[in-house]
Amino acid sequence: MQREVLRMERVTYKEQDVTYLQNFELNIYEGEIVGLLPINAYGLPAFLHVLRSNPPLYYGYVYYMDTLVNSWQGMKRSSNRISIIGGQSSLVEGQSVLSNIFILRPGFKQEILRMNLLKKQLQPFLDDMNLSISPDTLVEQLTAFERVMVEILRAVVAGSHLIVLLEISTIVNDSEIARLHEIMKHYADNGTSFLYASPHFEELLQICDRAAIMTDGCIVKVLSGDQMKPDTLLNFDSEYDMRVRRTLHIWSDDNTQKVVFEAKNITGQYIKGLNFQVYSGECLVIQNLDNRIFHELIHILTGNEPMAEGTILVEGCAVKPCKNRKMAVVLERPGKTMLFKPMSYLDNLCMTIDERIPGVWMDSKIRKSIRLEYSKILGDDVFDKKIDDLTDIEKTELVYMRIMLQRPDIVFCVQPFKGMDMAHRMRIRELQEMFLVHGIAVVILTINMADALSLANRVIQIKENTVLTEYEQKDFSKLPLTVPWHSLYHTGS
Amino acid sequence: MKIHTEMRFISNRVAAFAVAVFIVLLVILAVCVYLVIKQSFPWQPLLVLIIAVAALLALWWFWIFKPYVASKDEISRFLDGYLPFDAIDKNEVMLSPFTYQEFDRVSKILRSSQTVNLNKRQAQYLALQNQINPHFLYNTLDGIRSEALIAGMDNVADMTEALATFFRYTISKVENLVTVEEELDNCRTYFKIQQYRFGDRIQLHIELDSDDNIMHYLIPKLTLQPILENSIIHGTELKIGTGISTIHMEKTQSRLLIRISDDGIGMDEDTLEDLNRKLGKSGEQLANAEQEKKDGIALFNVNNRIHLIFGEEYGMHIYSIKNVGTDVEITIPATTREHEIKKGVTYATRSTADGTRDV
Repeated sequence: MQREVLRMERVTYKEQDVTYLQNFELNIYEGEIVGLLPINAYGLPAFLHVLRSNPPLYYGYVYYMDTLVNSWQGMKRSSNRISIIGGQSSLVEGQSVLSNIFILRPGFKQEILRMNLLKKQLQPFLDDMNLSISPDTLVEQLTAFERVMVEILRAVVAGSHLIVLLEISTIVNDSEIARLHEIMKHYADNGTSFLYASPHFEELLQICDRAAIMTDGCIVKVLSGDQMKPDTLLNFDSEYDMRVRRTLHIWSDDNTQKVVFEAKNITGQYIKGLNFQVYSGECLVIQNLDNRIFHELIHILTGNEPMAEGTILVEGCAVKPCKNRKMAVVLERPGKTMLFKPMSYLDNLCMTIDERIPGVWMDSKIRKSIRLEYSKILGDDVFDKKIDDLTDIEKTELVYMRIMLQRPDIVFCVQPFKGMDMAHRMRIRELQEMFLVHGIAVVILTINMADALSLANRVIQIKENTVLTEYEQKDFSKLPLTVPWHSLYHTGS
Repeated sequence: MKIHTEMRFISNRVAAFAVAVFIVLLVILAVCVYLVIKQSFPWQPLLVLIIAVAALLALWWFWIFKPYVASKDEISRFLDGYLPFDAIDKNEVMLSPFTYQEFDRVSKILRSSQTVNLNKRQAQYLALQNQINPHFLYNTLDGIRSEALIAGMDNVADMTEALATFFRYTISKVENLVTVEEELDNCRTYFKIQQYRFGDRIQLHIELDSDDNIMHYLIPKLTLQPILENSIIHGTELKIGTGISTIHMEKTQSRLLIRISDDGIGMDEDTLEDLNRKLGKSGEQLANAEQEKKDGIALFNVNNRIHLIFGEEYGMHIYSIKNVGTDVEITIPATTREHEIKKGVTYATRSTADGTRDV
C-alpha cells in the first residue's frame, strides 16, 4: 500500500474571474520525489498558493495526509504544513539558525528557552546532513546552500510531510546540488516527500521518481518508469531544441580576439584578485560556484558596491562600472527590476541612448523615428501600453532593446533564464543572439548553465577568490554537468 | 436555535440588518434631540455612535456581503455545469429559503435523473440479455468451439472460448459492483480477442500494488474494459510499431487508483482540455445528451457511474501528450463490502423511501 501525502483532485482555481488552475490533478506518495516541469509559468504561483494556503476553490478537492483540507463545496480551511523553498529565503533574518529551526516554528510552546538542550537536539540533524554550521550563526551569514539546508531542516523538524523545492539549481551550484540530492534521498527514505520544480527535464531525471508536466495551469501528463528519459519530451521543446541545435556553434568563428573588457585584480569583501578578459563579439558564461562572490560581483558591476582594489577596463580605458555607456548590465528578472512604471514605453526604451544621441530628450522627432524603427521589431501596440500592462516577454524585450539602442561593447546578463518558462527563455536567447550578431559581447553570470551553455564560446568557473577553471567551446564536454544538449558538445556537430 | 436556522438566509439577514440600522438611526435621533435640549456636546454618546456604526459595517461585511459573494459564486458554478450531487449542507448560507428549496429540489432531480440514466443502461443490458437468450448463445459458441477442436483449428477454438467468456461476463452478470479480479479477468479475455486481430502489435501489462488484498476490492462492473478498448482503438492501433497498454493499480490509505496507460499517439492539448472539462462537469453531460454519442460514451458513462455510486469526489481524469501516450486515471474508494458504499445508488433508494423523488 502506498501512503498518499497530497492529492489534488480536479482542482479549478480562479482569482478575480481569471482561471489559473484548470482540472489540476496531482498526487504525491510518502517518501517520493516528484518532479514538476512547468512548460510555461502560467498557474505556478496559484498552484503554490493552493498547496499551502487552501484558498476557496472554484471546483475540486485537496487532500493532505489523506484528509480533505479544501473543497469547492465550502469548508473550514487552514494552512497546510507544507514548506516551499525557493530563491527567496523564508528564514527570519537577525535570528540564529537555532531560533529559526526550533523557537520560531509553529507549535513551539516552551516558556523558558534551554538553548543548550536545543543545541544538543539540533546536532544530530546537522550531523545527519553532514553540515558544519554553528547553531548560533545568524541566517544572513549563511551561504545559499546552507540556507536551503536550514530551510529543509526547519521543515523536517516542524513535521512537514511535503517539501517543495523551486528552481534550486539557480541558487546552488552543481557540486552542492549533488549533496542536496543525497540529503533529499535520505529524508525521502525516512518518509518525507519532495516536489522538485525545475524548467529543465534533465535536472528532474537526476533525482525524481516521477515527473508531472504542467502547462497552462494543468497537469497534462505524469511521467514515470521508462518514460523518465530525455527523449520523451522532445515534442514539447522541439522548436527551442531545433533553434539551439542550429545555432550551437555558429558564434565560435566570429571571435575576433580583440579584448573589449578586462577585469584586473578585482578585490572586495569576498572576491580577492579576480582577473578575466572578454573578447569582442563573444559569449562568455561566468559560473559562480560561491553565492557570496556571485552577489558581490553583481554589486561591483552595477556600481552599487565599490571595489577595494582593482581596475575595470573597457576597450583599454579604465571605467567606473555602469557610469559608462560602453558597458551594460541586465539584472535578474529585468521586467521587474529595470523598468520605470510611471514612464511611457518609449521613454523607457530611450533611457540610455542619451550618449549616442544627446538631444533625444529635447527633440520629440528623434523619439518618434525611434518608435517607427523599433515598432517593426517590437510591434506598434506595445508603445501605447502602460508598463504594468505589458506581458513578461514584452517587458524583457523592452529592456534588451533599450540596451540594443545604447549599443554598448559588452552586456552582462545576470541569471537571465532564472524563473522563465520555455517561451520566455527562447525569446531571451534570441535577444542575446541579436547582441552577438551586432558584435556586442555577452557575459552571462549564472549558477545554472542549462540554457546559457548552448550560447557560450567560453565558460569560466569562479570559486572562492579566483578563476577556478576556464573551458573553451571544444572542451565543454569535460564540464561535469548534466545539461540539455550535453551530448552535442562531444561531437561538435 | 430557530433564530440561528432563520439567519442562514441572506434575505433574513438583510431584514435583520435593516432593523439594526433603523435602531441605530433612532438612537442617533435621540442623541441629537438630547444634545439640542442640553446644548452641550459630550464625547461619550459620540463614541457609542461611532462604535455602533463600525459594528454595523462589520456586520454588513461578514454577515451579509461575504456570504452573498460565496452564494453567488456557487450559483455561477452551478450555471457553469458543476452540479451538487451531494445533499445540500444544512448549515450552508443561502440567499433565501426559496433558493434553498430550489437547490434542494434541483439536486434531488439531478440525482434521480442520473439514476434513471444508469438504470436505462442496466435495462439495456437486460433487454440485450433477453433478446439474445444467453444460454442459446453460449451453447452455440461451445458448439463452434467443439467443431473447431475436432477440425484441429485450435486458434478458432480459443477465440470462440474467449468470446463466450466475454459475453458471459458482460451480459449475464448484472451486478453493479464486481471485484478487481473479475474485472481484470474480463480485460484479459477482451485483450485475447483483440490479439487475434492485432497479433504482436499490441501488448498488455498489468501492474498491481503489493497489497495482497487488492484483487478483492470492489469496482463498478465494466470500468476497465471500455477504457482499455479506447486505449487500443484510439491509442495503440494508430501507432507504428508495437503498442503497450498497461493497467496499473495502487491502493492508498483509503482509495484505489487505477491507471490505464498506453504509449500510443496521444492527443493534443485542446482535445485533452475538452475531455477533462466534460469529465469534471457532470451538468454539461446531462445538458448535452446528444453530445455523449458524438464523444463516445465509454469514458463519460464510466465517469458518471463512479460519481453516482461513490460520490462527486471520485472519478476519472485523463493525461496525455501527443506522440507520448495517454493515461486514464480512475479514483474510487477502496472497499471490499458493498454496504460500505454510502453514496449514489443509496441516495436514490433513500429518496424513494422519503417519497420526495419524482421518478
